Amino acid sequence: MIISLRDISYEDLKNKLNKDDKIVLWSCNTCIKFCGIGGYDNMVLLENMLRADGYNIIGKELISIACMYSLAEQHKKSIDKKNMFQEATAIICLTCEDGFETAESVFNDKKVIKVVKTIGVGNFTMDRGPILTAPFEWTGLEQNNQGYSFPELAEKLHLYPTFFDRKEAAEDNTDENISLTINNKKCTARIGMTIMQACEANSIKVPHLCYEADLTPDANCRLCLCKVKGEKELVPSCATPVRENMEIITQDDELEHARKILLELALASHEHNCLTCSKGNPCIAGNCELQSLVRDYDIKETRFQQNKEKLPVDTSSPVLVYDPNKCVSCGRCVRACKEVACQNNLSFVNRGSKTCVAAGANKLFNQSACVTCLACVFACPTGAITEKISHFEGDDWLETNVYQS
Amino acid sequence: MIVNKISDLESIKNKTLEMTKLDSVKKTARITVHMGTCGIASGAKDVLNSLKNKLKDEHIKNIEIKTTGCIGICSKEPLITVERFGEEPIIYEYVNVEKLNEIYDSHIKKGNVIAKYALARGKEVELEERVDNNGHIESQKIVDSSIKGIEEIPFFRKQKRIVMRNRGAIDPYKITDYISRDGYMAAYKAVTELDSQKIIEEVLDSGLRGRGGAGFPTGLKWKFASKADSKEKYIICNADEGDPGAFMDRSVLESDPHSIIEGMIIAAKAVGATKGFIYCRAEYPLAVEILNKALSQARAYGILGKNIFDSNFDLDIEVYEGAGAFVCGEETALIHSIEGKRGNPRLKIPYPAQKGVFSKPTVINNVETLANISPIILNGSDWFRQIGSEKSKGTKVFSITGDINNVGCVEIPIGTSIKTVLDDIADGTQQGSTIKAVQLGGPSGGCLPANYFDTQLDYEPLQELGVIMGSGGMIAINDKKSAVDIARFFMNFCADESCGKCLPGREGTRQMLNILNKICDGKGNKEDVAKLEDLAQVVKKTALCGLGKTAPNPILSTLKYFKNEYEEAVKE
Repeated sequence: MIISLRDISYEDLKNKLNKDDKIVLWSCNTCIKFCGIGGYDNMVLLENMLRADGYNIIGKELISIACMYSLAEQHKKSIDKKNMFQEATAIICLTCEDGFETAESVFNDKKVIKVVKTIGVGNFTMDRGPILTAPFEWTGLEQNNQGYSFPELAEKLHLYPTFFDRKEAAEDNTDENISLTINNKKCTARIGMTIMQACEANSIKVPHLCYEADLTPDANCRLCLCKVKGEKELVPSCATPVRENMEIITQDDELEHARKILLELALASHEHNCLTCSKGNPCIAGNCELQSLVRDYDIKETRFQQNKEKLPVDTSSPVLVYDPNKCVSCGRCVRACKEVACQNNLSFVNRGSKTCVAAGANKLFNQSACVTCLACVFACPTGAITEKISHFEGDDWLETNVYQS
Repeated sequence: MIVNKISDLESIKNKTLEMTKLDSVKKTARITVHMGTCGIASGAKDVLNSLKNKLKDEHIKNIEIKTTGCIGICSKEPLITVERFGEEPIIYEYVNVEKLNEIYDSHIKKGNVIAKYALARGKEVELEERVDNNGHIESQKIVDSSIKGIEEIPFFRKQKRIVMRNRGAIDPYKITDYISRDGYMAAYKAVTELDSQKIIEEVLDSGLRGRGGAGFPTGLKWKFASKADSKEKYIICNADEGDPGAFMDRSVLESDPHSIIEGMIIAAKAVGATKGFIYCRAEYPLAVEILNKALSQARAYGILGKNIFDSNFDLDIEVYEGAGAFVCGEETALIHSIEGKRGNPRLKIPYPAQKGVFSKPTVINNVETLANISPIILNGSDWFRQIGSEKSKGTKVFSITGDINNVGCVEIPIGTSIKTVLDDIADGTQQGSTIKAVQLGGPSGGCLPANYFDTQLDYEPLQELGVIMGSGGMIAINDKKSAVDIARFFMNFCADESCGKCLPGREGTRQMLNILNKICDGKGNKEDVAKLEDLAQVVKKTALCGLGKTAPNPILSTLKYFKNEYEEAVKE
């Protein structure tokens, strides 16, 4: 993993921009995300800050691996985004320096702004976060077994250990806020938010499997269905925009019962053997969302007949393993491949309960046009698509003393 | 020739009528073979070929052979209609090559009707005229009064033909036949005389509701699309009829393709569309062939293409063949399919009228809805409003199948009771059994027991009972069959045809089928029934598209009305 730290302050960044610039945020979804500088959430944060200060953000683009020239080119040329990039005058790169150079040559007619300094190669640890283990020579740092943590590095090299702080920007414009009630509680949300985003902003948890913030909602897992006053049917919160004075119920007996049944159905679709699944390991891409939902809903076993039919596991790719038996067909990988990787290499095949994800023209991964960018790996909520290197790896669960009162 | 003026249409009409007239020398008789898919399947092609060979061998030039679509009473196929100059036409049922030889020698040559093979006297298109004149038409000599007149047979008499106005009367391969029955007059009127608002008002006033199943007012749909701001708009005819036991659309497509095209022209003018698609399932090869032929004829006559009727209005229509997925009949899945994507439904909002095919405003209408349009434009909304029930106007075509005597396609005024259809039109069930239930609306519909047979066939009364009118499939079930088995049959279909997108649709249908299989195999217990009901309710509430939301209906309705059969099935 490439280690980069923030190099410029928020003031420096603003000095590089003009008020009439049409700005696109450009972020990589790999190393820089784990360095705490890139990724979708940070793009949203920076977008909000710059908006509040009166800058014109016309879009944000997440790229699975921003240092791959061909990928960056494909993003620039993609049908949906072509116009946005043509219009843009400034690109803010939330990528490592390598990704910045790629962006600079892809967008050679635009102002491309670098935010980070790349200082070497390192690793991600569960307890200390990202650490630098192999520093570049110019840093003057010695290679050691312990590695350098971010606060340490920031101090030594005069860099910033964290991303920009929301407080540095102007106050939010309250004109854009609307009020609504969620679960009989008065809440505020911004215009254009979905119910799901409004709930997140108000610390209300809505269960979901197929929704991921950086992908277009598909509303196929049906776990986030909620009740809206005036609507005859249940509405998916991930895809329904909020309105002024909307009255939303995200949790009651009926909804919880339906969610429980849906989760049982998901469990029955295949045999989900967690003992041999790599997603349970405490590692960088650990934590199985299906498993945590099952825990949340107290599900001990599925009452439905489990599908025992085993499908072959595809290990042909050099970097990832696809196990269709653990797939819940949420389609996040399919959307990530299309939107984050700009590849369209993954899609669904077959019908009914035989529906599953397949690479290329229903081939193995190494026979398809997969660019091994890991977009699908980061998107998968279960252990269906995992990184090969993480198999039988990861730390033991940390031992902690639990005292009973 | 290019049709530009109303006089062009009229001259085609007169010429065609003149040409088809029978006389005593040049054209003494006409034999019509009804060649719908149903007819062909029961052997109409053999009948037609042997008839052709006969005339060829005997060098007979003054007898015309005509082919048309199905006349509705599919269970009596192959049917032929024999007309001799100055005599009443006779419809023969269950015709095969041997019977044809007899009919040919005796009736066609000598004028001696063979009563034992005959179904009725008279043609369906002349039925109203016959009723008005006490069962006979003046210019026609009654040949054998022992044969029932067509108006005496409930199957024909109780029907009201608007959508099926041309069945059995025109050759679907000939545009001139359609024009001779006032075809394209309404399109001419709409394109040259009326503006968009006027057409929409007329359709709105008529009270016509979408015949695909949901019953949304057609005029309102058009209004939304006409208001959408876009240079490009699309009009789509949904001919992806896939319900088991439903064949209304096929019957219309095969016997009267131009009525769909005319409906689409009027709809396109109303909303401002310049491109149309007929999304037809590939399992209807004859319909696809006939549609393509009809489209190319319409283009040749200048009725489709650039500058239609010399009025600066452009429209072209093409046939798009579905690849066999039932779910593609759902609007949003159909849109994806035409765009070349996997036929998965999406959320209904934005509506297709705002963002449809290729992200442009799109109107999607069912075959039957479109076939209703030209009579409304021609006869006015007031005429249309006289037919039907208080809330729903016009007629509805049902395909009646199952354990009844007269299987076929029937068009009845909305509001007719189920009893009338089953007892009179369908002529009941075979002796020794009774009809205990009727499945309405295909796999999305429900099962209604016999004590509700007085119910009117209308959108709302049926919905109140937990079944739907749907696209018009009606399957009669006699008392020898189990309701659980019926539910299993439809669940099997839904599980098979689910697109696999949403969790309840994909996995819920499979699990409901699993439980039903278990019960049908005699391995079920009481908990299974409770579990089934629970799951069915959840799937109904949570599924993404209309197909998933209605898939549990056969289970829920049989649980409601035939709970005892479930209990019987799980008894140890």
